[in-house]
Amino acid sequence: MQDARCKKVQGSRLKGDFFQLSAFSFQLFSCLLSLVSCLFFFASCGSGGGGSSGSTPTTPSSGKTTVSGAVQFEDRTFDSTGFTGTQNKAVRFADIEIINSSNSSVIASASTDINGNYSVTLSPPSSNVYVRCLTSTSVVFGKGTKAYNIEIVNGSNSIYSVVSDVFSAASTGTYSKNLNASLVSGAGGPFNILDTLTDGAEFVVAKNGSFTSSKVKAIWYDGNTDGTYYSAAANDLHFLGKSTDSDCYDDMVILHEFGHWVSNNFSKDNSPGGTHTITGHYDIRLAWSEGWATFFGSSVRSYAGYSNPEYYVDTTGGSGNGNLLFSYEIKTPSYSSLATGSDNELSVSSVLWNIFLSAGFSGVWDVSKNYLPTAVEVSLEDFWDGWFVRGQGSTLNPSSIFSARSIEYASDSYESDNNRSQAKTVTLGTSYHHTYYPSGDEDWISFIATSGTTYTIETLNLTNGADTHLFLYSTDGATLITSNDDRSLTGTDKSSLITWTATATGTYYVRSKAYSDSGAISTYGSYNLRVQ
Amino acid sequence: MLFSKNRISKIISIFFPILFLLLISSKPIPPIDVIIEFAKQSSIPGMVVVNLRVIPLVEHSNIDIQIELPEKLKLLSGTKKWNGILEVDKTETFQYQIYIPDSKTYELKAVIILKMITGETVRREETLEINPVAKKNEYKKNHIKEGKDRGVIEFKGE
Repeated sequence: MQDARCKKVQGSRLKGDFFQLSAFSFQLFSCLLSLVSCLFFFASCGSGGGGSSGSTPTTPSSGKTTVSGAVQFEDRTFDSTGFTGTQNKAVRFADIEIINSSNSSVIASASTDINGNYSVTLSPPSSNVYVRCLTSTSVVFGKGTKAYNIEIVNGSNSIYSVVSDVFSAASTGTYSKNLNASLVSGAGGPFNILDTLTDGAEFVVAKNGSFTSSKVKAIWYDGNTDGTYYSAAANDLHFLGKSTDSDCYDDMVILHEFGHWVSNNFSKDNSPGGTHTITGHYDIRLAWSEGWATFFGSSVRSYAGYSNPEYYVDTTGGSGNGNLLFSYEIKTPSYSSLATGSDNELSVSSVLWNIFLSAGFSGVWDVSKNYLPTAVEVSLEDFWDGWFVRGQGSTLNPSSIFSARSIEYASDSYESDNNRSQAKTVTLGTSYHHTYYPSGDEDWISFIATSGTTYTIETLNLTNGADTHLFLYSTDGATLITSNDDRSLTGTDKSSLITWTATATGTYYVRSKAYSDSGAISTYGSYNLRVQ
Repeated sequence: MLFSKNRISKIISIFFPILFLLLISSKPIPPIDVIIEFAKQSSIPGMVVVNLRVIPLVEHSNIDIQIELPEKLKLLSGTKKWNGILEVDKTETFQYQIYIPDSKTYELKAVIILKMITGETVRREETLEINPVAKKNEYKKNHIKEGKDRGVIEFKGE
């Protein structure tokens, strides 16, 4: 290749030479002149494209013009205290394009491999080109069943990239062009989102055997105050870019939102959405969705080999080490006394993580993918049911893991009390702890009432998503006197209250069951029952 | 009560399209939300007003709030340290008047420690940058529009 170029320049420059030299001297002189001419030629080529470099192939060879190199980005390492430093990492499976600098057209494309290396053949060779590595993996997609399509864009749907200087690749040989998306340039952040989502996609492929044709689209830009969230409607991910809270380097935050994406694309999610604190108790569908998402993120990081994957870490995104916004652990959950019940996301994460530690991910994935989509309202209750329906119970009985977080998917100590004849007589003023379990369970009690006395029959301390429904029956145990679902018509209190004055002395019956009419969400739940 | 839930279902069905848009899964947040910002457009150097908004999201037994000022900045009004109990889910605003002597970059830090009724604590630190150093953008090369709806932001990577 070098020879061919020399010949071309020789032909144009040496005609009319008057020096009389020996054959050897002539050859030496002509090669030096050729070299100078070549440099002049390529410098001219690059001048219109913003400067050129690399005009000489690194490795001359015959026949082909190849551009190759490695692409890296500047990653930020972190632990539960915030950022701990930086390191360079390979940009894996990203789209590589060779761009004609004159008209911005793509003249060749490829993708980086798992080590961030790429190699593109130009045919024909071209001058005024540059290399561009995009925050997308669309080139990889379509090359096999394990391919996936990820894209990181800004608020205007523009994709990020790092580019080389303009150079000429007009000769045959291999041109070396390494690229780096640095932290300070602003390119490191979007490439980190790509890297983290690649970890997530690789995990799904490893556990599921394939991905889906749906694109994983993430939107982040410096100054984004829109919020960090997953939109089920658009099936895309959004990440904050505020000066006080930027999530482009918060891998666990990114994977948490990707966990929602996975849930919606491979399983089912009924979360009503909304704000949620890690210590709060909410709708069990929300707790499941958020608890799953954090658990999924930890699972990805465990699979990828990162240390302490059981920590969720959210930073401010500020420069330098530290900058922790907050972090928490899911194995032995932080705020342990509040991380209880199926209605708390940290509790759900902890349950799933400890099942994962005991039985691996395959059972969790099997239930999520094959059972949860059949559920009406997806929550931890359905995961529990699915665990046994799918035969995972033979691998692990998770009862102790659930009970460690005060999740009572078990019969209470008063069973059997499922009808009038089995009703347990209660002492007035005493609370009795019950559970609705198994599905359709009813708890019957009886009490002796005195004519003219007013009684309060109520459910208290509802946990694990309980939504109680009380029915008061007359002395025959069949004639309904009154009933109550929620004690208040407004608010979110799902406990029940009946205030009743006896018109005749005798033994009366109370039937308690989980609300099961329109709008019902839970099947199980724990509560106290009291008559006074 | 059954009527009540049916009515809610009807309301949900009517407003379903709106609710659908709201069905987004946001990231977990700590048990106390903190925002620190300038109260209004401030001219620096000079006197500025800073608002610290604190929103406890859980029942608690105490909240400690402390403002840490760089030496050259003067607190003209507002309490450097406060502790007490705040109403859950309600925003409490603490206001500070601060004198900033020059146009150098400073950091105003708020440290908030919430003690839950269970005894566990949550620590939050929020920083307000005063005269932040302008972000370097010389590495940003250009923004190219290509074909249909495709834009590419190019950063120098070599």
